[in-house]
Amino acid sequence: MGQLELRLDKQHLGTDVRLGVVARVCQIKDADGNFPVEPEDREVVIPAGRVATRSVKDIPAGTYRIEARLPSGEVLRRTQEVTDDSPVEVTFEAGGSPNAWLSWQRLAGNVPTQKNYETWITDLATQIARAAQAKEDAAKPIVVDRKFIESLAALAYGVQQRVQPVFEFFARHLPIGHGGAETTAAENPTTAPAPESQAPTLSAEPPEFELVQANPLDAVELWDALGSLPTWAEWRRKAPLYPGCTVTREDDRQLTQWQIVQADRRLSVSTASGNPLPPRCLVVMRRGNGVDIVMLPIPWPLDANKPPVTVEVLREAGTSETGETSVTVRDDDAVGLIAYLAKGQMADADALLKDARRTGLIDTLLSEKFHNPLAACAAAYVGIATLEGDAPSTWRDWLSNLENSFEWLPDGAIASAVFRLRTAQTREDLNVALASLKQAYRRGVPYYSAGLRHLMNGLYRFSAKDAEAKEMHQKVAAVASCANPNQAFNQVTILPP
Amino acid sequence: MPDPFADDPALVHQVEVNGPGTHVIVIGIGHYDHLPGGGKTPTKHHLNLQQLTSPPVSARKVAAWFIEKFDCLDRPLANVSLVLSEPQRAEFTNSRTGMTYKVPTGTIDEVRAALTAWVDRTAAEPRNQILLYFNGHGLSVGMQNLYLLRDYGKDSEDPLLGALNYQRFLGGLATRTPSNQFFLFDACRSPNPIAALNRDGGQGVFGVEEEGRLGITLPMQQCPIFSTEIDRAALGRPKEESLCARAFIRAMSGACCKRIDNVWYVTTDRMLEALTDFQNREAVKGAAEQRADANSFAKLRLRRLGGAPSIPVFVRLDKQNLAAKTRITVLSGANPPRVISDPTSEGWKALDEWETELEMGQYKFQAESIDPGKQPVTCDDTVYPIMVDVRLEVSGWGN
Repeated sequence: MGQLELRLDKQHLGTDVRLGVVARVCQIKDADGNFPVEPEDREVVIPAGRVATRSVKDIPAGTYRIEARLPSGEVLRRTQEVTDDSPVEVTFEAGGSPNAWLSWQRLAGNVPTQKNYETWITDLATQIARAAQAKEDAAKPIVVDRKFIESLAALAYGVQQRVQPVFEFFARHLPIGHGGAETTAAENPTTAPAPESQAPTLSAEPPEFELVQANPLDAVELWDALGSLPTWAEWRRKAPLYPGCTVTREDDRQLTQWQIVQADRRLSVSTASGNPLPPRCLVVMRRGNGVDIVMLPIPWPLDANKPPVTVEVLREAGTSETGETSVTVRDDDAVGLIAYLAKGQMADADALLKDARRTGLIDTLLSEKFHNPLAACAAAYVGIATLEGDAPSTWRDWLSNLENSFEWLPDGAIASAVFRLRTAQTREDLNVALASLKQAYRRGVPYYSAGLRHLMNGLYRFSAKDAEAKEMHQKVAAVASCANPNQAFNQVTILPP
Repeated sequence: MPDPFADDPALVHQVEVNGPGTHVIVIGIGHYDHLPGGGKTPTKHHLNLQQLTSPPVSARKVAAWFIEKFDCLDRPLANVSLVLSEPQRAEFTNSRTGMTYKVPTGTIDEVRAALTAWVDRTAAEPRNQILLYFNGHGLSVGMQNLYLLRDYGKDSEDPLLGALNYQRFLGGLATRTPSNQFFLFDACRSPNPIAALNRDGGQGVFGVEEEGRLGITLPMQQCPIFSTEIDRAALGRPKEESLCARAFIRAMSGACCKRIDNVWYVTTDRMLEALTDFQNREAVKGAAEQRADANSFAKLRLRRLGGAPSIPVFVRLDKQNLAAKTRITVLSGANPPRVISDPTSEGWKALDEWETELEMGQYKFQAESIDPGKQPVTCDDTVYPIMVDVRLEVSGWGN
């Protein structure tokens, strides 16, 4: 039998990410060069970094097509012959990130390669040149030199998809062919302009970036605070800055990144029950005349005896109203899972989760040890989404522990409630699920987007008959309407109306 | 014996199924009575939206594909319902039975009735699978989406009375009997102040039945997928099916299949990837992009295949102007060659590329010039999900 050694080559991570990306290994020829009757077809998780590889053992000799699926949606493909003689190493190139400090963001799919943007812009320039050539009166084609393309790419990569529509518009209005494609938006051109108004704005312009502390004992206040700019400004006026982190800022004009190091994970708020709670940390960033508020996933891990993980916040296009904000946790066990979760690639997240289960990592995350409950919640959300047939019997206990052991963590209660709702057999199951949802609401805005969505849907289910659930649902739905559903961690944007 | 077709005017296909089945509803809203050109009192809340021609075409094709092609060993096709909003009440002919139906026109009341009947038919069996395809105008705000129906804007005080509220719709359905629920919303996800101000607007159609699933051991699996990302448009061509509809048919035909325990299934695992790949194959021709998106997910086996899947294969020449002189065939083992393009055949027309479906396996693609004296050009390739692009290098033949 043959053996493959697979890895994704990614520089500047500072470590090998064991659970990096998902790869599919498909046999397309047997040793005789024929299409196999029963082709080998496996999904494996391969590491990202410079050294570590993933061994795929006991595969029949033949030819394989191997696809590495990155969280960005890119698929890297290789065809490789495998013999019985010796292991074959296959290395995928992740593509360089434009700056070393963007390496984790590149792995998480938040930043494309510089090369991708150069290619795209080159294609566009080619079309422009063709169009110019097609005109009889055009004396010579438009020539776009490489330096220009590179500089345009450097400009473009930072604003990613936000800039894409601008280029699309540009391309559509050039005298070039579209192959007949047009948008339903062409049949549905634009939306009505927003009415002008004397919009309320923040009384004092917020700084570009700050970390603000929220008291877990007043977690419910945050639901109201996020409802509008005035309520936010009022809440913010009373809230202190978060003291437990140090922040380093990097930027290259188009992109700004803050590296947040957890300097003190022992910060806590005393409670009547005697169980200290970690204060909530919010990232607050100026966006035009409004703000972005991100639920920063810390403490990560909770266990202060384990090394703290750096969290990165990436902002495109400065403090303008456009551009994405993305959060990446530099945790080599969890970064892949969270990236796939954020991008909606749940099948890949599930493959990663299965691999983690196989290697025992999932037991560590979800078992009663719980040294990192925030990571455990990510695993729980993926596990619930990809539930097939009967759920593992241990899940209910694990999720109950996740709910009950961490009074400050709304997502633990949400995951537990969702699992109960999906598998409810009795009225008591529903009652318990409702109690968990209400508990989650009282713990404040969930860390994860998936949690916010589940909380909204769960409370809605009971809101016809339960007045408290209805009131909670309305507030959750209001926040959800300002939340970016395509981020792993909750990010709420409050803009003037 | 009651006539199900008389009770539900949206029903266009029904088969007696013993055990769990697949229940499909397809909604294509192109004509909007109260948008400009709709023929009825124009709404001031028109949002600059226009009449659409692609959604009914898309809906017809999707419905026809299910009736003609959908087979599933685990959950065979039980029924197909169809709602079409065209300027005049639309007719649809079921190609299997030859019966012609006048289908509902897509007002909220008609859509509610069709949706209710669709779900009622599944009430006896929790293992049933329901599948919805919607194509029409859409609005978006955060995690909420609103899908506009034919009578959007009829009520000037509450124009969204003629719209479907995505969150409430799914929330209600999550408490109903069928455990496998798949939805494909092929609509723009454009942000708009009216959606932001009325995020709870529109109609959910299904109220929550708190205890609706008690006693059902199967977990509820809902998998809603959007044809495009948030804040982006869905693409289509006037009077042709949308990119997503075409991609969905290819995906369901076998492109996004997966082998599980030696059985091939069309699953949701690769649905996003397949829709995105197929949509972008065409979108890039207009320098655009359309990525499918999902905020929540469930692993569903939408179709269990009886054998190996058929995979879309796209064949093109590196020099398109030689198409009229080139015969393209594909060979597999000792089988006779299969013709992909033959310019000498009746009705042949030049295309940028030819699409065919092939079973997984090893193939030899061949281009032969109909002019004498030129060596055939061949290309060996393996056909495997999701699709295969074959390019035959004939430029060496000269002009």
